[in-house]
Amino acid sequence: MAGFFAMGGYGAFVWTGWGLTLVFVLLLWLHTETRLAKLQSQLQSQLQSQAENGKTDAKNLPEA
Amino acid sequence: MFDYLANPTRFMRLADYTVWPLRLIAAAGLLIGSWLGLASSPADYQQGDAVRLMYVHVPSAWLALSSYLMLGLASLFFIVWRHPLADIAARAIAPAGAGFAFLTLVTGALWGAPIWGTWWVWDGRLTSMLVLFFFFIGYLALANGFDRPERGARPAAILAMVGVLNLPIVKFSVDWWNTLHQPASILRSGGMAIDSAMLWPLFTMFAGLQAFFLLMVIQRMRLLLGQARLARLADQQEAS
Repeated sequence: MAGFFAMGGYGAFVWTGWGLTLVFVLLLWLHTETRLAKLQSQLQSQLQSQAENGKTDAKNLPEA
Repeated sequence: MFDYLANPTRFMRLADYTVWPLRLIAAAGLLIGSWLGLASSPADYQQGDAVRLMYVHVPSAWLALSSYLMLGLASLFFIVWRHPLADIAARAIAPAGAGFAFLTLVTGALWGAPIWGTWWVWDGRLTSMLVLFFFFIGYLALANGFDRPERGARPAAILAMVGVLNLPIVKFSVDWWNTLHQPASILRSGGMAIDSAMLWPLFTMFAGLQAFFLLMVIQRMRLLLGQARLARLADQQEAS
């Protein structure tokens, strides 16, 4: 196991490179999905409030 | 086909069908690719385990180049046909593309330090890749640097199209000039010069990262379209 993490003496380079790549992927993925989910709920509540005020048809698609 | 997809409502409907398959391919590709690249594939006879950086460096470089080409094409469609969805596509491509260009530079430096004995040299390949990264940053700065996004759309699109000229320089720099960077091993005229034991992890990681990139572009396009819709609804409410 220690040999696996040591990567033949190149561990610091290999793990930093892989770590950065996977962290970038994970953070961008989470950031985008979270923002999209937040926006969808904002859109829904906006449509709902306008429908309650009679300004928008409630059936108006709440998609983002 | 472009006319068909250029309708935002139709695009949103199509995007709904593609999101889950892309999520699954990205997650599976990255998990299997990480296992293949870090544990299952052999070490190189000269570079040892440092070669494992290839499985993140090379797919990042392919994605940085292909995403810039997509950015240039979307900008061309925006300038020529003035279609707002092309501008939204370009805005959605740029952040992920910039990220992959950055990763290419960083993982390249991490690979170069133990193998070349230096983190950086000002040679054709490395310098043109850095220029590509600056084009991405320039695009993002111009596209997002105005209070009203539509004001930045045209200058950003022109900059993106100018940057396309840099793509053949990045690709062929290793053939045109003497460089520390090795010449192409996959996309070259004499066929692939790499063993299949290393090709599988490389292609698996590429498939995972490519699916992730497409997913990010689609989700960011939905986000930008949703933000525009929210702004329109707020304007309507204020006006009435």
